[in-house]
Amino acid sequence: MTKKLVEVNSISKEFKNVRAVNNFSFDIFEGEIFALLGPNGAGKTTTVRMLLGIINPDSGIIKYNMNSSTNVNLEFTNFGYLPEDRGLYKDIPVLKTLTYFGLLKGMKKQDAKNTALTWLEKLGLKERSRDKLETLSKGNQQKVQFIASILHRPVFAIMDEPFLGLDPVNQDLLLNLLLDLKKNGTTVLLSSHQMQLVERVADRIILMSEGHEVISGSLESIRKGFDSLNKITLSVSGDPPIDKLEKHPALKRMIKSAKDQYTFFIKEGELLSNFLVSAGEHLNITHINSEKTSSHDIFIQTLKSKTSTINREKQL
Amino acid sequence: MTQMKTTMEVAKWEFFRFFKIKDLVWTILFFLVISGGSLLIQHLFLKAGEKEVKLAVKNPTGIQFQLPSESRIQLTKTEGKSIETLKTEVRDKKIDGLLIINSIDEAQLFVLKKPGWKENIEKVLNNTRMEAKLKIVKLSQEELINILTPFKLDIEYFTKSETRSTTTEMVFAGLLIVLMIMGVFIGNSYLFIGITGEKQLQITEQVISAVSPQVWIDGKILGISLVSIIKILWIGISIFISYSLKIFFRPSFHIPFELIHPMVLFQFIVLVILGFFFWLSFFAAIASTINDPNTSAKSGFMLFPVLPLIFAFLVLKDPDTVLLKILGILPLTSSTVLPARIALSEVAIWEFLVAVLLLCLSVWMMRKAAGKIFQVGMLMYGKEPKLSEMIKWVRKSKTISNMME
Repeated sequence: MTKKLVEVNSISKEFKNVRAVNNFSFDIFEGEIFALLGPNGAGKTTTVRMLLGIINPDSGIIKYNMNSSTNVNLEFTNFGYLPEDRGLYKDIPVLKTLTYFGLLKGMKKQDAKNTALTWLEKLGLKERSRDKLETLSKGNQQKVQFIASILHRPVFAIMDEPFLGLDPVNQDLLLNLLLDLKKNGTTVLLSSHQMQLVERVADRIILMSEGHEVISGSLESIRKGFDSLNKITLSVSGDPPIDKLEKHPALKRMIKSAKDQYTFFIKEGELLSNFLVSAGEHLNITHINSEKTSSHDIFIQTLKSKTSTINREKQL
Repeated sequence: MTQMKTTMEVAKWEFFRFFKIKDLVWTILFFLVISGGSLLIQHLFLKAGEKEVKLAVKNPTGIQFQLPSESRIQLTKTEGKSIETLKTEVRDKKIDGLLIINSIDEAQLFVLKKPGWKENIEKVLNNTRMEAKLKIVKLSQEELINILTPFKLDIEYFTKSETRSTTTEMVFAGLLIVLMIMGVFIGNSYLFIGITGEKQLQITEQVISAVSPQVWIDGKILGISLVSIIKILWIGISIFISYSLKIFFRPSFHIPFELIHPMVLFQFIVLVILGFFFWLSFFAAIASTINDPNTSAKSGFMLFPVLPLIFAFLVLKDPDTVLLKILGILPLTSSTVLPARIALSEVAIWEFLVAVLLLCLSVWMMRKAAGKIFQVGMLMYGKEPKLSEMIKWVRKSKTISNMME
């Protein structure tokens, strides 16, 4: 059985009467990619900062490597960190900056330099190694930032919103790099709000909102709970009497997903054909698209239901 | 990697971020140009002052007066020329002036513009007049000098401050104070650029995931202090070289090497280094709480070292007052006041040792405080903390979380 690398037990953190993290618990296992998901302001960055010891929790415990064979402790050299608020020295050549970060992380100068060059080559930036960071495009600067965080081959890499500012090509590249890290034995914590990207690499996820857990587990187990929902997207023309479908017994909920486009979630066990016959009677359908509920939908749906529960609790 | 090794890596990085050979070259060139230029201008003025002056003298009184042999005033012939003709020659710049001696007490000088040689001719006329008057009262010049000589009172001092404070020493002490303050300001600006710049570039959090805040701040203080010390040392050398240029213009010029004693030099070095550490630790703590130095209300703290500068200049007046002896020991002022006192007076070795001990303790506490404030301040954006909050952070240092409240 894979061993626990991190055990987070009921941590809480409050800033000036705002509870950023509230009684939050989770475990991270060696060699996995663990995703910490949540909307903006959910408490992800605070949790990450507590994991790194940059700030301490008000209550609760964070334990590292309890039963692990790897000698992981709070030594800086074991961590790789890509912060959400990130930047590097703009007026200093890329290779020089990377070598410096390698040195800070306990690498020998030559090793740091060689490893940095290997990574730069891997990411197509070897030719720019002597250029100042400010001369690179934003995407390339992000790549350099990524290298700075994993150059020293950390045991535990924490990536806070790593996809921010990256185009789809570079997002794919980063996803592959994360899988490479995992393959080489690095445990990765991925903190993000971009579910559709995270789901492609994460082994397990935890979704947090307003400082606490909403849902957690492996992607398969989470999906199981939502698999029963079929999603149909209909493109329509004219001025459709959409209210006529709202009370259809097979319909769980409905949203206007775009101009002249509606998405319908069909209840478990209901036949799609029944709903489509009714829809055909009332709407002038130009295009039909049917699929299973995506992780993104689960993310939105779960958060919405959680928020309404919290609001109800507040009203009570 | 040990903390010390990491601190040294950070210090090295900070040092090379701000140390530029180009700056040193520009510094010495600047001083050479300023000094060389001013010496050249001075030299040209002196040369211009040595130009021969043609002076016509109309002396109907027949009083005899004699110009010194080395005088640049040359008397021109006036025989057969009327006063009006001579005045025309002055106007036409053929001669530089016309002197008409009306009596032993009065003469008139006609010139085009204010003459630079007026004092010379006045001196000659005064001497001539005095000699004539002495002849009347039958008194010799020696007798007159004897009467006019003031009472001679010789004073012998037992303290160095009274016996050695020559103008050169005063200038030397003043220069030391100015260099020290200049160095602190240079270091201070580097620290502000370094710390607030990193905050603005959002580098801080990434760095703090690599090293502890204390290591980071220690490395910064160490590296930037070293750059500042080298810079002021270089400015000092540049001033010295520029000052030595005088030899080329005045061969009799003497460089006061005798002011530099090995012990005094050692004491200066110790105090200056500790002074830098003290002030830069102080500024590191302030800079840690600032997001943008252009808009921060705390930027006024940058002027704080002016306070010891004022006290240090009091030393030039009287280095041995009780107030200055106390200020020479207190950490806030000792690094500027004590070097100036050492240069101008006799400072007991215990005073030096107590000052060094207190400075060492203050540096230690200040760097610790800076580390703690940096630890909290690095993640703070938006409203800057008040001084009272910063003191609270330093005192409640066990958990960072407490400080963030």
